[in-house]
Amino acid sequence: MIIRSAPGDPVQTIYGMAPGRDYDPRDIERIRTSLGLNDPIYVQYLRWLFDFLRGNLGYSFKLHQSVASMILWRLTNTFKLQLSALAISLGGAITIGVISAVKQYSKTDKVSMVSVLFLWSMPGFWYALMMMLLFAVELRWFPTHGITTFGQPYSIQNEIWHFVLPVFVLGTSMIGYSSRLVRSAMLDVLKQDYILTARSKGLAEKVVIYRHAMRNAMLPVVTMIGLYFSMVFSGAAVIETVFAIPGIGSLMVESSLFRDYSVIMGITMVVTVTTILSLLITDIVYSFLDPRIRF
Amino acid sequence: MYEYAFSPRSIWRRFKANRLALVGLIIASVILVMGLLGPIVVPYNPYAMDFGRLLSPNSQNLLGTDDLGRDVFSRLVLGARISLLVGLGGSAIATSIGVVLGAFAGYFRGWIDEILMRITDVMLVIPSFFLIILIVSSLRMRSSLIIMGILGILIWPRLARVVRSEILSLRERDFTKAAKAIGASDLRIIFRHLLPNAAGSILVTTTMYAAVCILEQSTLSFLGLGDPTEISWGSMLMLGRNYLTTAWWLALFPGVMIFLTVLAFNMIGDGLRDALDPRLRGVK
Amino acid sequence: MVKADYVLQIKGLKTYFYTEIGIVKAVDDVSLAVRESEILSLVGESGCGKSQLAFSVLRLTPFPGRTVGGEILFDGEDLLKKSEKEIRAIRGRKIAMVFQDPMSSLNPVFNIGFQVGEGVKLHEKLDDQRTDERILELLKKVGIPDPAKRKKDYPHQFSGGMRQRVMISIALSCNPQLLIADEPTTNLDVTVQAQVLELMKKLREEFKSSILLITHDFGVAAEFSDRVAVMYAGKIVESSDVRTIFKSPEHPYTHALLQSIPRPDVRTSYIKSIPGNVPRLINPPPGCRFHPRCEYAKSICAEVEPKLINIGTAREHYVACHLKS
Repeated sequence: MIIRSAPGDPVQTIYGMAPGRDYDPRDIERIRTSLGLNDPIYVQYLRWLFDFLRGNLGYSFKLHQSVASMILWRLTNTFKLQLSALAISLGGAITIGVISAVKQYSKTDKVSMVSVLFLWSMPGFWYALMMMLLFAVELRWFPTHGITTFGQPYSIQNEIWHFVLPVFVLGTSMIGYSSRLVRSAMLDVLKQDYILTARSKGLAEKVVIYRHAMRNAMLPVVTMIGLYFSMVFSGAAVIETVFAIPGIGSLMVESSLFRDYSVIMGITMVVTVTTILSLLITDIVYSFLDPRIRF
Repeated sequence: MYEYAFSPRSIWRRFKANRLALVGLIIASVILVMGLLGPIVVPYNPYAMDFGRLLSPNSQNLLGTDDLGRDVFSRLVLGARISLLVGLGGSAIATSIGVVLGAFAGYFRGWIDEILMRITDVMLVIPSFFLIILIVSSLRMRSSLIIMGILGILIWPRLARVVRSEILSLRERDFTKAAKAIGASDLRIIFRHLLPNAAGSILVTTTMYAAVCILEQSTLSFLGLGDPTEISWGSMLMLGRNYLTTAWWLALFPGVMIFLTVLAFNMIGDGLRDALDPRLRGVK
Repeated sequence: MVKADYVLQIKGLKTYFYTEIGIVKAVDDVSLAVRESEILSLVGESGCGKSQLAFSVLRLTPFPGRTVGGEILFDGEDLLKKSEKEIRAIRGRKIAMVFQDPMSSLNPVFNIGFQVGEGVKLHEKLDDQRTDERILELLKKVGIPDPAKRKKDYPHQFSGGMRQRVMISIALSCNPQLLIADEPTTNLDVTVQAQVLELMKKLREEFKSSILLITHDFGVAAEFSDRVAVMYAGKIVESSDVRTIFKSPEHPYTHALLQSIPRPDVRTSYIKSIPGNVPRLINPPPGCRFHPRCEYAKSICAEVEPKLINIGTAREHYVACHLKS
C-alpha cells in the first residue's frame, strides 16, 4: 500500500503555462529573461527543484515575500485549524457511529444517520456562511474574520476565540462521512462469530462492545483517520476563504486566481510531500495495530 | 409466494418503502423540471435588472433581488441548469470511464489490472480539490462543459475500483463459466452478463457522484473559478457573501438550493443501496 | 431403570424469528433433556433449527429472533425467567459453548492466552498470577504444545484443529456442568475431527460435565454419544439411546437418513436419497412436517401434528409419528 506518486506532474503543468496576462507587457520580457524563464522548460524545472531541496522556494511576485516563510506561517495556521477540527469530527464520528451501530434499527440510529446525512450534504461554504451569519453577525458571539483582532496585542485567548467558529464548522461538516464509516465497520464487526463467543462467556454487554468489538472496528477507522490526517495539510480551502483565515488552502486559492507560480509550485510540492508522508505513517501505524499483518 | 431479493419489482418495493429515498426522488424531480423548463417557467427575466436593488423578499420578488436589481427567484431557477448539467454530466463521464476501465481490469487481470491499480492508487492519493483548483485556475477558458469534463476525469477512480471488485467476484460464478462454455466473446460476457449484475452498485455510486459533482461545481463557482458567463448557485453565493450582513437572502437561498439538490441525490443513493441489499431485516 | 438426574430439561421451547417476510419458526415446541455426565447428540440437516436451539439455551438468540414459549430448566430453575445479569453469571461458568468455526470464533486481535483467561478472570475473579497458571494448565490439558510460549500467539498463527482446542479450553475454563458444542468438528479435517472428539470425551471423564453435541454427521453421533435426538424442521422427531436409534429407528425420517449414508462395505448402484427439499420454516407443511417427503404418509399426517411419545419399553424411546401411535 505504499504509494510513490509523481509530484512532478501537476507541477509541470503549471510551470509550462504561459505567464499571466495581468502583467505589464513591457516588463514581461525583462522579467522573463532575468528569471531565466526563456530557458528550456526542463532546465527551469531542474533549477527550481534544486532550489527547493536547498530550502529556497523562490519569491512571490504578488506578495513580495519569500515563498518559504509564507508557506510555513500559513501551514501552522492551517494545522491548528485542521487538527482541532479533526479532533472534533473524529470524536463525534466515533461516538455517533458506535452508538448507532449498537442500537441498529432504533430511533437513535435512524435519527442520527439522517442528521449526519444532512450535515454531509450541505455545501461547506454555505454552511460556513450560515453559521457565520447566525453566530457572528446576529448573536455577535464570535468574530467573523481572521485569527487575531486588529490592533490588539496577541493573546492565546483571542486566537482561540477566533478559531472557535471555523473549527466548529469544519469539524461538524466532516462528521457525516466518518460516522457512517464507523457505523458500518462496527456493524460488520458485531456480526462476527467472536462477538458471539464473547457473549457466551458471560461478559457484560459493555465489555463485549468496548473491548472486543471496538478493537476490531477501529482498524478500518484508523485507515480513515490516516486519510483525513493526510488532508490536514492540503487545507480546507473553502472554510479558510470564508473565514479569512490565512492558511494553506486560502493561499492556494489566492495564488491560483492571481497566477502566482512560485507560490503554487511551492504549495504543490509541500502538500504532495506531506500527504505521502502521512499516508506512509498511517500504513505503519495500521500494521502495528493489526496482529495479522505484523508477522 | 416468494419474491427473489433481486427482482426489479422487489427492489422498487423496498425503495418505495424508504421514505427518505422517496423524498429525495421528489426533490430531484422538481429540480430536474426546474432545469428543463427553466426559461419558460421563470416569472421574470433573470438577466433583467428591472427591479430595485437589494430588495428583501416581498410579494413581487419572492426571494428578493440582488445588487443589480435582478430577481433572485428567477436566477435561482436558471441556476439549476448548470448544477444539473455539471452534476449529471460529470457523473456520466466518470461512470463511463470508471465502469469500462474497472470492468476490463477486473475481467482480464494481468498487466491491465496492474496498471489500472497503480493509476487509481495515485489518483486517489492526490487531494482532489487541490488538484481541481490547480487545474481549473490554469485554464484560459472556463466553460461549464470543460469543468464538467475535468470533474468527470478526476473522480472515476473510485468507481473503477468498485466495479473491478464486483467483476472479480462475479467472474468466478457459474453463469460466467456457462456463458464462456457456449462461446460468448469476452466483450459480450462483460457487457451483457457481468455488468448488469453489478448495475446496482454502479447506480449507487453514480448518484453519489452526481451529488459530489454538484458540490464541487458550486464550490468552484463560489471561489470564483467557475464559468463566468453562466448563472450558477455558487456564484450567487459568492455575491451573497459580500452582502451577508445587509441582504441575507442573497446568501441563504442559493445555498438552500445546492443543499436540497445534493441531499436529494444522496438520499436516492442511500435508498438504492438499502433497497439492493438482500439482507433480511427484522421487524419489532 | 433408575432415572438419572437431569442437568438440562427443555420443555416446549419455541424460538421464532420475526422477519420482513414472515415468522420463521426455527424451534417449534421442542422438548429435550440431558442427563448428568451424558453426551446427547442432536442430529439434523442444515436449517432444521438445531443451532438455534443451542443458542436459545444460553439466550443468545440473535435479532430478530425471540424465545416466545416453553421452559428451560437448569439446576432446577427456568433459564428463560432469569434476568440478564443472572444469565451472564451462568454463561461460561455453568453452561459453556463451543462454536463451529474456530477461526471466526476467536477474536483476531487478542492473543489466545488472554481469550482463554477472560472467562476465568470474570467468573472466578482470580488474580493475574493464578489466572496465568490456570491458562497454562488448560492449554496443556487440551494438548497445545509449549503452552508458555504459545499463549502469547494470535489465532491466525494456529491451525484449525489447534484453534478448536483453544475454543474447548475456553469453554472448559470454569468447569461448566454443561457443554454445548455446535458442530465443533464440521470445519476440520477428518483426522483432526477424531482427535478433537477424543479430547472432548476425555475431558468429559475428567470434568464430569454433560455435553450437548450438535451435528449433522451421523457418524460422529454414533461414535461419540450416549443418546441421540433427531431434529427436523424445527421439531424433534425421534430420540433415544444411540444403539436403539441406529439399530431400530422408528421414525421414517431417521430411517431414511440412515439409509442414505453411503456405506463402503455394501455394493449398491445408487445412493438412496430423500426426495424433496427441507421445508422453509416460514410456512412449514401442516400436520407432520415430514409428510410431503415420507413414503409411508397417510392422510392424517397432513392434518394433525404427531406428538412426541415414548414407545420404548426398557429404555426411553420417543417418537413423533402417527404410524407409531
